[in-house]
This record gives sequence, C-alpha cells and structure tokens, in this order.
Amino acid sequence: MTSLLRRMSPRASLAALLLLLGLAAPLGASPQPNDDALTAQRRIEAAYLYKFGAYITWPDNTFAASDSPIVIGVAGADALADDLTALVAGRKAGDRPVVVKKLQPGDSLAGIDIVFVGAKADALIGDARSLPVLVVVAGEDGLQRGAMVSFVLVDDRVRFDVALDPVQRSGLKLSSQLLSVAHSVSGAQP
Amino acid sequence: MSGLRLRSVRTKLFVGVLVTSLAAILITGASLLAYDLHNVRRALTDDLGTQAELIGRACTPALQFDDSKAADDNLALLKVRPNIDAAAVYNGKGAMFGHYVRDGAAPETYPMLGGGEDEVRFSGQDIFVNRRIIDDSHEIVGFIYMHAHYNVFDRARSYLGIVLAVGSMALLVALLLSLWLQLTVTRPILNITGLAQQVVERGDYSPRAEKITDDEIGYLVDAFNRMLSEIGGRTEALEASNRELGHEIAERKGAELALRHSEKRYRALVSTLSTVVWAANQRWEFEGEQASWEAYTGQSRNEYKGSGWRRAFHPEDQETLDRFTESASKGQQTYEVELRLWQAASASYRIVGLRPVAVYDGAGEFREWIGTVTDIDDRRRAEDEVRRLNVELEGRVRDRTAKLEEANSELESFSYSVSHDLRAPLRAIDGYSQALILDFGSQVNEKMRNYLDRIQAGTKRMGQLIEDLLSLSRISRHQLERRPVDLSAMAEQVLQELQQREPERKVQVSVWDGIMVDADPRLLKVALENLLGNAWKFTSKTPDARIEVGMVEEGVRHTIFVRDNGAGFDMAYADKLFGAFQRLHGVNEFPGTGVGLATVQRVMFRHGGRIWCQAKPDKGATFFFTLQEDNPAPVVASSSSAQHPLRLD
Repeated sequence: MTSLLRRMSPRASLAALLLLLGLAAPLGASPQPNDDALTAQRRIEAAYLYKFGAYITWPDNTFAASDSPIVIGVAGADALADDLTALVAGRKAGDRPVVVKKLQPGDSLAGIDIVFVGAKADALIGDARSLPVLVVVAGEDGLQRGAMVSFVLVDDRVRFDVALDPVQRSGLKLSSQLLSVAHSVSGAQP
Repeated sequence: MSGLRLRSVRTKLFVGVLVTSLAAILITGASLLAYDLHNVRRALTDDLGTQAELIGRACTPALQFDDSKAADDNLALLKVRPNIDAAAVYNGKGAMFGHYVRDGAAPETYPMLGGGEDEVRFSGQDIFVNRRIIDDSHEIVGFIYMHAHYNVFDRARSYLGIVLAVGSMALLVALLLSLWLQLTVTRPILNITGLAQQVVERGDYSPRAEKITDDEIGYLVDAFNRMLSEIGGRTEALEASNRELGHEIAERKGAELALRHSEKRYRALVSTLSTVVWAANQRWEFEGEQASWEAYTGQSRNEYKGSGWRRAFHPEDQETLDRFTESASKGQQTYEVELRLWQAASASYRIVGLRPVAVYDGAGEFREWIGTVTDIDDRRRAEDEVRRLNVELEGRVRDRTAKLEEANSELESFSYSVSHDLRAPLRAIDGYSQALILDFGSQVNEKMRNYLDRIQAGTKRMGQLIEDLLSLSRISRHQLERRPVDLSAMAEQVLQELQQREPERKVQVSVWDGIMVDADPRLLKVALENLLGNAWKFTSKTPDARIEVGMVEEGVRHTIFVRDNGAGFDMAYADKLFGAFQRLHGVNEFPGTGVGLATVQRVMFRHGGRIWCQAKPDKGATFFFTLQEDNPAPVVASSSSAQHPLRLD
C-alpha cells in the first residue's frame, strides 16, 4: 500500500488540493462562480462519483466476480468524464477497480453500475429505472427529474441530496454513513 | 540491665515482625501500584487508540464528502468519555476539519498535524494520541487528534487507602503472630534468662530450666542445664581447692612462725653460746656487729672491724693465722686451726679452734665467710692431763707386771722344786712297799697284801699327779718358739700311739689333710695329746666310736676342732672344764687327774689363742681352739682343707 501511495502521490496531492480549494472557496472573496470555480466544482463532483462506490451495495448477481470493476457511465458531461477517468486511474473503490465509460444517448445501460446523467441526456434516467444502477445528476431539480442522487451547491460547497424511493426500486442499498453526510434525504426508509 | 535485655528481645521480635510485615506490604503495594499504573496506561492507550479509530472511521464519510458538521456530530459523541478533554479531526492536508472540547475543560491548544505517523504521547497526567484516518481504499483521508487525562494521584490515593487498610490488618495479624511467637519462642528464652539472673544473684547452681519445646530452644535449654551442672561442679572443685589453699596458707603461716621462733632461739643460743660466731667478707674483713667476738675478746667494734680482729690472736700465732686464711681463700682444704686468742674475762690467751665456712648465694656465687671460734683451752689441758696420767699408769703397770712375773717365777720354781722334792719320799714309799711284798711275801696275808696294793696305787697316782703338775709348770716356763707345724700329721701320730697302747679298741679316726699351723711344736703336741687322749678315753664306752680333727675358716680366723661321739657332758658345767683338778666324771668311770684341759688352755693362751667347746651328754663333745689372736695373719692352710666343709652334728 505504501508503494501504491507513493506511486499515486501526485494525484493524491491534486485531489487534496482540490479539497482544499473546495474548502477555501467559501472563504474566498468572490461570491460569483467563475470558470475556475466551475472547474473545481466539476472535479469535486467527479471525486464524489468515484467515492460513492464504497457506500453502495449492489444486488448479488450484479458483478461477475468479487474483483470485477465498478463501471461508472458518464453521459452528456465529457469534461467530467475526463476528470473522472484521470482520477480513478489505478484507484479502487473498496476492493473493486473503477472504470469510466462515456455514454451517448441511446446507449444501453447494461454493465453500468453508476451513471451520471449530464445535460440533455435525461432519457437515460428513464432507461435506468428498475435497473440496479445508481443514477446521479447535478442541479437543484435533479430528484424531480427522477435521479437518485443530485449534486447541489450549498454555501458554495458541493453537497448532494438523496431520494430513497428510486433507490429502493432499483434494488440498491446506500450506506447509512453516506446518508448521514447527505445534504437532504427524501423518501421513506423501508 | 537484664530487664532491659528482656524487653529488648521482646521488642526486637515484635519490631522484627512489624518491620517485615510493613516492608512486605509496602513492597507489594508499590509493585501493585506500579503494575496497575502501567496497566492503566496501556489500557488507556489501547482504549484511546480504539476510540480514535472509531471516531476516525465515523468521520471518514464526513471527510470524504466534506461534511464538517457530521464530523462535529461524531466528535460530540465523546461526551460519554469524561476523561477525554479534547479531540479534533483534520483533513488530508492537515487543515482543521472538526473539533471537540469537553465541557468545563481548559481551552485546547491544537497541534499541527499532517504526514506524521501514528503516535501516543504522555505528558504528566495527560495522554495525546495522533492517528491517521484511512478509508477502505487504504487512502489517508485525514487525521484525528485526542487529548485525554488519567488521574494517577487519585488512583495512587485509592491504592494507598487499600494498602493502609490491608497493612493495618496485616499488622494486626503480625501482632498476634508476635504474641504467639513470644509464647512459643520467647518464653523459654525468658525462662533461661530469669534462671541465669537467679544463678548470678544467688550463686546457686542447683535450679534447672524447664524444657518446653523440642526445637533449637529446647536444645539451648538442655545445653544451659548441662552448663549449669558443669559450672556447679567446677565451682565446688574451686571452693574445695580454695579450702585446701587456706589450709596450706595456715600451715605455711605456722611454719613461718616456727621458723621465726627457731631464728629467735638461734639468736638467743648464739648470744649465750660460749662459742664465738663471726662473719667476715670475702677479704676476711669483719663488717657488721660481732657480738660474741666482742664479748669474748673485749675488742670494741672499732678495734675488730676490718682486719683488726687479727690482733686479738697471740703475736706468735699471727703467721699461722695468715697462712690459714690465705689457703682458705685459695680454696685449699682448711678445716680448723688452733690458735691462741685473747680472752678478756680471764685476761689471758686461750687455745681456740677457728673454723670458717664459705657461704654461697643462690647463684653459686661466693659471698662471705662465717665461722666459729671454739674455746678448746680446757679440753687441751684435760687431754694433756689424761696423757700424763696414762704415761704414769703405764709405768706403774710395768712395775707391777715385773713384780708379778718375779713372784710367779718364784712360785713356779717353788712348785717345781716341791714337786721334784716330793718325788723322792714317794719313791721311798713305793720302793719299800714293794720290798715288803718281795721280802716277806709268805708272811703277808691277803689283807696286808690288799693294803700294800692300795699304797702302791696311791703312790702311783701321786706320781702321775706330780708329773702332770711339773708338766703344767714346764709349759708355763717354756720359751715359746713358733714355726710351721703339720697339725694333721701330728694328730695322726698321737692317735697311732693311743691305738698302740690299746690295740683292742676300734675307733674310726678321721683327720683332715694338710692343716698347717704356726705354733710351738712341743706345746702343740702336749695340747693334742690331752685333747685326743680325752676323746679316746671318753669314747671307750661308745660302740662305733669316731674321732675327727678338722679346721673351720671364718675369714682370716682358722679354728681347729677335735670332735668325738663319746660321753659328752652337760654344757652347764662348761665354765669349770678348763680349771685345774676339775673333773666332770668320776675317777672310776673315766680315769684322769683333772689337769689335762687346764694344760691345753695354758698352751692356747701362750699362743695368744683360746679354746671353747660344744657338748651334750652321751652325744659327744667338740673342742674348738685357735692358736693366734683373733685378728692376726691367717694360719697357713693347704688347699685340701677347702674340700672339707665343716660338719657339725
């Protein structure tokens, strides 16, 4: 693990820097988002996507093997996909490696475990219904659009809301730890 | 002193038990405390580590998803652990993410964290824990810091309380134990000590300690008792020895007293002694007071001191005195010297004997002269008188002897002439009586013849008597001429003559060979004729008659004996035997004149010898004689005589 850390050090530093910036943002003088802020937000969202993997339990037959990769599909957000791809290279979420896949409208969600649905790709949300796929979007209205997890900006910080009903329908289980750090959780727990 | 010692033993035992118990309790308590503190620390460390781990885990999503409120909420859970004063969570870059401070705790100074390893740090009663927070992907997502305290003193205090409580109980038990020990261990020792004190105070060794236990103390009691017996015995012996010593001292005192008396007596004796006692130094000088010298000579002390005493001697004796003292000093033998010393009392010189003795001290060193001066003047005079009287007496004896010899000689010539003259008329009587018988034989009847025979026998005996008297007289007058004589041969010859005279007698004769004597042969022959004639005569009625002549040697004295087994005689008459005309037997029994043994004795006297006898009636007689004075040169004897030891029946 030591050798792994050492090997990963530059990227870890980058992630840390991003986190620091994320923290530093509320302390920053400028209240208006700018390009840098947007980029930072996108990278944090990418990091969150990657980290969700550790807090999700998929149905038993989802993966072929215990070390089968978690596949994160990204639709309509190529920049984020690129950021995520750079972030997960060589990393694991729990015991599984993480693979990023760019999706086009109409692509099948087969083999996808987590999907980020960006702008103009809402059709995928419907496709994912009843599939064991965590559907993540960005925006205040994300949950209304049918997503399970939606990134929101609270006090200039990236947070997320969770809708438990679609999660429950999909057969996924989210860790209570994840829920405890969510900005808001809607839907009744069974 | 002994009481103090008693208390001391008891106290020592008590204190010993106490100190031992206390030490054990303290050491145990301290060890337990140290062990407990160590354990507490380790438990605390483990506990805090776990706590930090748990909080870290709980904070992982908060860190990952940047939810510091969630982190604060998690940290706030630490309220249930009042020993944790403060805690904080840092993000991966080391920036403070959330923190917690216990209510009522002092404001916390949070450290800078980041990059370091996990650590636990103690400072006084505080514990600080730094830990990394690692997620499931083994990535460091942040750091956690905790500050806790633990109350060492509280714990130590409570421990001390426990130790004190336990200690008091232990002390109580120790006290009881020491009491028990005192009963079982100390009491016998106290007994012995009391006994020892009693022995010392009273000097009585008879009491004995009671043996209560069978352990080392029991042995001690036994040993003590044995020691008491031993000491008692020795003390008795010592006292006995003391008594003996007392006796000895008393005896010695008595002896000293006796010695003092003796010395006083001696002094008194010296002062009253007619003998003068003096003392002089090695150079013959008078030094001290010489009381008896002063009394005798009248010299004053000034006069006699030094060599002044010499002037008290007669001037003519000075040279003798000088020679005497000189030779005495040289150690030559000087016993006594006779000198003339001035006597004050008689105002004259008197003859004295001076006798010095050298005195040596204990080391054998010559020290002084002491001596006596004895007045021998009277003795000398008496001796001179005796000598003078002796000379006078001897002259008188010589005169008397000469006169006596003259008278004797006259007497002997008288008796000789008488004897000689008596023979003429006797021969006439004998001759005429024979003539009567020859001339008138026919006219002489039986009665007349009987008378005439008696006259002839009387004249014959008278003639023999005269002959014997003449013989005795001759022996007395005879000039003694000594020469060596073979007595054996002479005796043989006499015995042969006797045998020829009476050839019909059978006598067993035994004469030792080679008896040589120095004697006058004529006188010796007369003596032997008489002695052997007697033996011959007195064995005439003895069957198996024996006569023996021999010699006994006693040193230089040679005694000749003539022994027979004849009639013998009663020794009661032995003193009459050698007188003239003395007869022990009747004439009819054994003939004889009674002059023979007187003659023999006269012969022995003439030779300076003597004669004696041993006899018993009917058992024979033995006559012993010597021919010399008792201490003269020995009689010449041949070697053959030694082969005949004396046989006295």
